[in-house]
Amino acid sequence: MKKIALWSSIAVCAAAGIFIAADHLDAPAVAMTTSDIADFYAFEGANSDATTFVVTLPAADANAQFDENVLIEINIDNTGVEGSTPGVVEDLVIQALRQGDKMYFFGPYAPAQTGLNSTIDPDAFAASVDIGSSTTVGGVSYFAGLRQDAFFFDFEAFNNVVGTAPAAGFGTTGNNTFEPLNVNALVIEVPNALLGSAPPHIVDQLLGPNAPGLPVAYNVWVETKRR
Amino acid sequence: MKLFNKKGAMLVAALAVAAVSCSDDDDVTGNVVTTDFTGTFVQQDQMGRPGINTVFPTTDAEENAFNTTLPADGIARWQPTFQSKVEALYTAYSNTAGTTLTYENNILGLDLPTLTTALALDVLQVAPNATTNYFNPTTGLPLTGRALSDDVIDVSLILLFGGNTGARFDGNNGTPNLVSDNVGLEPGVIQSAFPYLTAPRF
Repeated sequence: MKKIALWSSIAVCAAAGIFIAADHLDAPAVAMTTSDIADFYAFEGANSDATTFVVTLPAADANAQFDENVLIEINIDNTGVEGSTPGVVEDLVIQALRQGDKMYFFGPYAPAQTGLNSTIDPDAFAASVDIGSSTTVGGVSYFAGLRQDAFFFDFEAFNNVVGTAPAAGFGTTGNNTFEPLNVNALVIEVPNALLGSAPPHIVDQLLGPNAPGLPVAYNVWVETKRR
Repeated sequence: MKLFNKKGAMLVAALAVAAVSCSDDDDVTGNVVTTDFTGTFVQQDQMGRPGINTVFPTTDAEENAFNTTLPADGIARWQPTFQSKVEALYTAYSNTAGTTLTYENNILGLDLPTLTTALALDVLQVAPNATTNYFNPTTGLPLTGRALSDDVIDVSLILLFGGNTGARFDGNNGTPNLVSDNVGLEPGVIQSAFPYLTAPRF
């Protein structure tokens, strides 16, 4: 009952155009559900030998929770473009699933199957963290809980530009659509040693002889998967 | 570090109906957290780079399909759609300007088919041995990560509309501003220490 009320309130806000982050509300099938990804970041944090992953999901209010049946899966390709297909396949995954008042993390590990369906290998369990808290286990730092939304974008102006092509374009002033928002955030800082060697940069791989010579880089993406 | 070591038998008993109690979670008050890691999880949403599914797929059906397109299939499935979308935006601004405007190779030297090929493979690059930004104006390096403070929308607009200088349509000389939405990181939303995002404000 509580959940229904919670997500109904999100639906109202979403209908008003409030929740649209860099990915959020992109597709009708997931918009306004607990599997809707808002944003994904990957960067070097305080530890220069580690990579930090940030995944955010919309949070309408202080009661917003991660869904206990929605797996959050960070995918890591460390082999680059393989074979004749100009695409990539995950070599490692980091999985997170909330149960009760904790978030449970698995991996990074090579999944039994790649693609649209996933299972959790309990042997790959790495750590758990109380929702709203941080912990460090085995050199990996973990956080799961409510945070401010760092994304910034004048989404209304963008819609205007792509909708009606006004002569001024975005003009000279903007309004950040996301300034008052919060998110449910997963933050994981992983030593690069656990991610394997990075492959040649995908842009270099795609361009071949015209490669600009970019640094080697993992290819990463996040998925939400529901059981 | 095995979750189920203390009750190893549970691993064997992890049937579809299993809702297992994990002794790791016995806390000082004696509460036991019930956990269940079984089942098959089916893809709902995915994201690599920022804004891709917001900008390029056009119809509801396309947006839904994009979220379940494997990265292995992204280029074949989406590059033509993405290129058409960009061309349509140039057509719209041609109509506004009363003159024909077409894509010009961008600051990375990428022509439209190449740019949309890279975008259609919607995975984010992150370099373990370099600065990690969506675009770093100091080094000139693109796509080595995405930091919390990166202005990914402006970078995306510059790549699509900036031409080879990055400022082709910058609002000057009678041009529309198509290279910046004029907003930046809000003060106080990020911090230098883990977890890098600040506490919520409700």
